[in-house]
Amino acid sequence: MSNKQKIDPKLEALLDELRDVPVRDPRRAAQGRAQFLSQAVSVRTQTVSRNPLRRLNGWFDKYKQPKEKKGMTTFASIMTVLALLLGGGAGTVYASQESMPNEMLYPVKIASEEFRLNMAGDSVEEFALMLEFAQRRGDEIETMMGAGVEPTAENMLQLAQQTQMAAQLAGTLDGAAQLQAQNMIQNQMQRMLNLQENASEEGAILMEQTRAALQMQFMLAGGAGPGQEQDQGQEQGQEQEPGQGQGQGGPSEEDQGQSQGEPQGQGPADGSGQPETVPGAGNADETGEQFQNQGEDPCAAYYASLAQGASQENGGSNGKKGNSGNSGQGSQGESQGPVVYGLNGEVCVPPTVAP
Amino acid sequence: MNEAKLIQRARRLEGQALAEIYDAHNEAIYRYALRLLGDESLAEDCVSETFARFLKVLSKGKGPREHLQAYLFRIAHNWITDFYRRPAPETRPIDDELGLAGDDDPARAAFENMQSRRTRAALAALTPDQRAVITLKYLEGWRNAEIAAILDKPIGAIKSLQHRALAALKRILLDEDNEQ
Repeated sequence: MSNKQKIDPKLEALLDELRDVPVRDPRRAAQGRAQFLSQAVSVRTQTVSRNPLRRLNGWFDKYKQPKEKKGMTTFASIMTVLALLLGGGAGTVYASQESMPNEMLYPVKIASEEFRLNMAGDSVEEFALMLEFAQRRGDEIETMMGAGVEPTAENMLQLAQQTQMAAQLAGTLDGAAQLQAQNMIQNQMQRMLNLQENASEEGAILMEQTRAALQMQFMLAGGAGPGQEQDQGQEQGQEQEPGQGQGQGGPSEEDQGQSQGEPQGQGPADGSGQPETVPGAGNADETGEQFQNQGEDPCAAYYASLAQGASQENGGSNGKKGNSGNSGQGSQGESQGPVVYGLNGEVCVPPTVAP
Repeated sequence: MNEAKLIQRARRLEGQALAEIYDAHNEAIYRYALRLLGDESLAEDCVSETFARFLKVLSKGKGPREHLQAYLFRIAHNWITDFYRRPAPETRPIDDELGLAGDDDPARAAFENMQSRRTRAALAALTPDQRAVITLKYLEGWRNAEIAAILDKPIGAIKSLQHRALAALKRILLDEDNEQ
């Protein structure tokens, strides 16, 4: 039944002209979809209850503090192992190791990885395992891309999160082990960059957002991301005097503020007339703000650590771990070590070494 | 019912379900917003904000249990209403923006012509609810019951809104013509 009220034909003709709308820009449509999926992933990781198969970013919390072995947990772990080994599950677990994210045995693979992590004896082993699993995620995504299957947002997120957790674990290591671990993380991040380049537009946007967050976190831990090396190293590669603020570069170079442009502060469907925060307007999150409003030389901490190293006259300038975590990788590598970045991702060029 | 299951999964923030919902409804919301706003960029903003708000509701453990489409359109409707309430609506360079690409698109030509703009301006002069009724009913082809679900009003109120909206449009668009 037509429930349309009788309408003046002239008026109907006028309204008809609004019926057809121009073709939507497919690029903007894809961007909008990617943005939504990214927000969905972000919301899910912040909100979901503890599901070990999905709540990957909860893993790190277990490792920040010394593990307390609880009786029942240990017992349950042992029983699980026995059940898997003796109950015919071993074959399943073994078979699952080659499974892909869209396959039935994949959850078994993830569960077995978590089990191995739980059984890790020390932080070195935990780091090695976490990195191995992050590399597996990269392998899986590469394989999927090779087979023409587009990785899902979840796949991308797992890769980013596990790399992130490996980076955090690397920060807990000591001395040379930490440096070595950080180099391995850099390689992993470089791989993420490659995957991003080969991903679909939607996937690339997702990867960029997660990778930017990862870079920020890695920088906090005193490391340097490969993307920065490529993107910024050449732009700011000129010599600069230590101690003089360069007054440029940071915030606009690295759009961390908008990378997680999750709308905030609006009630749903309330029509309240509150000022709107248009998505994409770059609501800098707190982390982004923290780094953008620094008026001081972003490399100051790095230079300070250099000066301290020189004053102590300890010969080679190696071996100073980032004390506050923000100063890049200490003074190691003046001659050939990794590039050191300041707070905003600038390349901190060491001064000509004074005798 | 499929939609009920889909909503359940979305309430658990399952990525696949959320993607399905987005894919199923974003185009219609875009069209709805574009017809009312007359600006592609604003329409995209409306879509983004609609789904962002939807996510936010879900993340708080709330959200619809049925009538998903109506729920999403209601969010979009509120966003557009808020837009019109803003004190100084921006004067968008519609001509420039729309003329950048797709000049050979006949739908775009019709969309841009003077009469269409005049009709959109007349729609903009209606109250938000009247505007929604006219757009959903005569441009989207929705039924009164569906519109009632969006606007959260009884069907009788929808009929009344429709009656007054048509009268207002006729006065604005046709009587002006007669005067000229």
